[in-house]
Amino acid sequence: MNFVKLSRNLRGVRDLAQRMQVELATMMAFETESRQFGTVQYRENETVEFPMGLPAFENERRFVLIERSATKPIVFLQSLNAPDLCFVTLPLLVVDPAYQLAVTAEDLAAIGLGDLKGQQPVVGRQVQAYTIMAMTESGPAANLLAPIIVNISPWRDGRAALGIQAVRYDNRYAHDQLLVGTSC
Amino acid sequence: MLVIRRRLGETFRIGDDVEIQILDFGGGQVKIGIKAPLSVPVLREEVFLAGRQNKLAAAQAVGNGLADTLVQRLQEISQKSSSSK
Repeated sequence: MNFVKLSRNLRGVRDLAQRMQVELATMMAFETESRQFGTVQYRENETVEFPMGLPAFENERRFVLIERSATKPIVFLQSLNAPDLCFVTLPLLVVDPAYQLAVTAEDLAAIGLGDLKGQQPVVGRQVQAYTIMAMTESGPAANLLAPIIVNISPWRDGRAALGIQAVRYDNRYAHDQLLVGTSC
Repeated sequence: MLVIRRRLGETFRIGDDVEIQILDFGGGQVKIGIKAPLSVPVLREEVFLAGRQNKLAAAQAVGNGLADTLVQRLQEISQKSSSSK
């Protein structure tokens, strides 16, 4: 009996099983109702779990990110629980390419990024970042005080990403920043 | 705005049920203890603002054309910045 060969084969089987599990998870489609979009099909690796909900919406924990070619670069944040609840967001760096993150250690730990040793995550690498848009009297405004930070690494395993609306402690950015010409 | 001066450890009240105590200060920071009924939300100003802005955004998102306005605005901005280059 060749134990080295046997254990190598077992490892191969295990890796294959893991890969199949991930592929199965990314293939399985679910459906949800949205007042904005009607019935929406989504996969687990398009969803975000907010362990603490969002300020004023603490009970809304699960959302799906929806992009439509006609409304690029908008990313809709549709609640999987409340068909009426759908935020209009933009990628943070579209609104302000020079935006400096200041996510607290607690907030990072809440989305599984407790091991950054005081460093901020890099948008596009460990996280994606979005800003919720709202209409003000002067036009559409971005909430740069409280960006949505999403740890996207679970998506690679076909699982829901982990998100948080990370409210800043400093007053460097406004909660109602108007879109300005120089930033796009 | 009402301004009151308190020493370390002293307290004051807002209404019958809310008690505020100055616990510590220094280094440009003040540590404050708050005793309040569960029915009284206590939030950092920034979290309150974020919540209020979320409510506003949630009320607008469906059906009133925020997305369309936004797409239009982004197009205007990109045209303006490409023509100025």
